[in-house]
Amino acid sequence: MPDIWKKSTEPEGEKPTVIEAKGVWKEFKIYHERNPSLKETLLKGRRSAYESFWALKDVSLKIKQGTTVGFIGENGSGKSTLLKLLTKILRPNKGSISMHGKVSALLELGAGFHPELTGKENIFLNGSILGLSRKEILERLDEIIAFSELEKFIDSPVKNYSSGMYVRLGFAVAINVEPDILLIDEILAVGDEAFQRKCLNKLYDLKEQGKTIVIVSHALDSIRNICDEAIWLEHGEIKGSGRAPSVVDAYLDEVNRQEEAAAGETDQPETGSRWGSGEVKITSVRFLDKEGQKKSLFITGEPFLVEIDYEAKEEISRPVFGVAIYSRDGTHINGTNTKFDKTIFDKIKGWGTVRYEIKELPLLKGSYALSAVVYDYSCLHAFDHHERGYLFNVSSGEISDYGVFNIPCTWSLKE
Amino acid sequence: MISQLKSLLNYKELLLNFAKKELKVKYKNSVLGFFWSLLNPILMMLVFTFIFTFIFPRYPDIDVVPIFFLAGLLPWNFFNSSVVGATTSIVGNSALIKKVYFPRELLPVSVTMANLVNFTLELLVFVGFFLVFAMFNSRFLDFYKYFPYLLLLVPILFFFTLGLSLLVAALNVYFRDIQHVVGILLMVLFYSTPIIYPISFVPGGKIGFLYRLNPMTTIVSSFKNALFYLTSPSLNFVLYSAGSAIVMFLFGYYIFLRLEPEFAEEV
Ligand SMILES: Nc1ncnc2c1ncn2[C@@H]1O[C@H](COP(=O)(O)OP(=O)(O)OP(=O)(O)O)[C@@H](O)[C@H]1O
Ligand SMILES: [Mg+2]
Repeated sequence: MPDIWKKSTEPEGEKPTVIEAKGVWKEFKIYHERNPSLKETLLKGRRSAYESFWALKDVSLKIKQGTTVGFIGENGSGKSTLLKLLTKILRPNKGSISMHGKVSALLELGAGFHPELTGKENIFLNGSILGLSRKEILERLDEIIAFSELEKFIDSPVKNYSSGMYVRLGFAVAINVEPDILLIDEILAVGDEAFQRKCLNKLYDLKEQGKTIVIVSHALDSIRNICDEAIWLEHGEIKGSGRAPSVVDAYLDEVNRQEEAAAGETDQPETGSRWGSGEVKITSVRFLDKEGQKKSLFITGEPFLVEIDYEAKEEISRPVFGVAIYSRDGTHINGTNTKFDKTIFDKIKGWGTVRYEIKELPLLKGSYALSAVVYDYSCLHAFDHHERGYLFNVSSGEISDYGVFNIPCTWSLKE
Repeated sequence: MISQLKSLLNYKELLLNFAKKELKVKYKNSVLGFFWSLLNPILMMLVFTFIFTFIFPRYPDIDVVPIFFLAGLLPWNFFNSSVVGATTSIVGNSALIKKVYFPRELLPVSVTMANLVNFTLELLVFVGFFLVFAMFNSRFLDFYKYFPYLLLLVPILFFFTLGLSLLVAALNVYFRDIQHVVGILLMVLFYSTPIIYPISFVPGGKIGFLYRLNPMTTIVSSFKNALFYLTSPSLNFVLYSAGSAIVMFLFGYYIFLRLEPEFAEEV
């Protein structure tokens, strides 16, 4: 994994480091009973037994002013814990953390609001937690309320808010207090589409103003787009860090690998349906890169190879092998076969492998399913048909286009 | 601890907001607002006045029973509701503790401060009582001469209460049954403090000595000197009260700061 922290000192050496963690360890004690009573403790002479769980192990990182960094990783990998350590809500057991500048944080589902107080009162409470004076909050009040679009509800207690409204208010406060450092955990998922876009736009604004932003999210697309850098946590350790798109891809790759490993060694279809008379059987289907290595995550523009192993119990003349590609939503993107492509195999018997190759995969980011089939020459009789039995993923890499296909094009200006 | 106290200065705005929140939440949905909180000591005063006027014989050397009770009930009420409020101040605000950072002691401190505001208002109402009772008993016309003692007694009571509040607030995070223990201890303390009876009822000797070790005894009876008997509190009592307030405050704050780093995990 490339170590961006060392690399980035060369071109932007002038920017100061604003967030630094050195060898941070965080332990959680898992008590067997949650809140031990005083009586028991006095009787036993100690608190009840616990298991220790290291949520973060030797995590070190440096974030320079003005960078936007995404934390990614599976559930329970320690992302939120790391953010809480950065905000001083939790203290590390070992190691040190230093932050320079005014920090504003929005942690998992809403800031700390007092349920009995109204939205407006909570703005004041939260503003003062972030160190603003009453006057400063008053100056920003209208802007905060306008951003949250909660004008109608601002005078009712936040306990009556929906979770989306909670997040709206939390986000509105967190960004309008003009922090130097903004820490955000999983908020983009809760707001509605319109608000999500608004938040993203605001994040881009803040980014342009040179604020330092740390985002925890499972929305890998947003991470790839907004973040300059990403840090990938796994079981409390930094598994990778560097430029956001490459870290996200590495993470996706790992997820896919694990999924495959979990699916077992066989490449038999676990999804989709299968039918056919069975004179020829498809025994295995593999996705390969140009070196012939098995993989399931491809980058747009890469060579894409499929090997289909078959077994013909008897001699079959002029079999037709075919593949079809579907997007996850079921759209039939392409279907082709050896007959269409005028590749006639005279006869087959016993074991063999058919190779299907796309020189430059035109598909954009997404999950796809592949059907592998073998028919007789009339294409009416199925020997073996695996409908959408094989899954693979595509990551767009450096390409930012939307949609399913990468269509090469050029732009020009005519005056 | 000193540096911690200094850093609190940066958070005075937040402290005020917390205290305001405390008062607001308390009075929310009640038109009577502050008068509700005043109602409690007044009702208690009426009940005790009734009991000790009609059911039990009148205390011999007490001329105006309602003021006698109020003089003890008001400081007790401040102490009692601060400690009760502080006990749950950390666990009751887990939403805040888990999501935002601020010095955690602001929560119990704001509870005590909000109660101090209440207490001050109650003392002002108390002045009204003096004026009313001065019509029946002219010795109360002199009340203002002893009122300045409150400038000494209120801070002593405040710091003693605050120390205990910090202690129970922190302990309650670890042992939730502290809440119940506090309730029972407060009740015991209520009867072992000269609130509804004069300290002169307490026998001397060993028992009397032990009785006077309770700082609330010396504090409340000093309040009674200033508010009811209209005499100067005894120097020994004031010194002992001040000493225990300082010790209680330092001890409570020390324990609080020791336990504070893990609050976010434990609440
Ligand atoms: N207060 C706590 N007490 C005990 N264990 C905790 C506590 N907080 C977190 N953990 C544990 O620490 C680990 C890391 O949790 P964390 O919330 O940081 O994960 P995450 O990466 O944010 O996951 P997600 O993607 O689900 O938000 C988890 O195994 C969790 O169970
Ligand atoms: Mg999380």
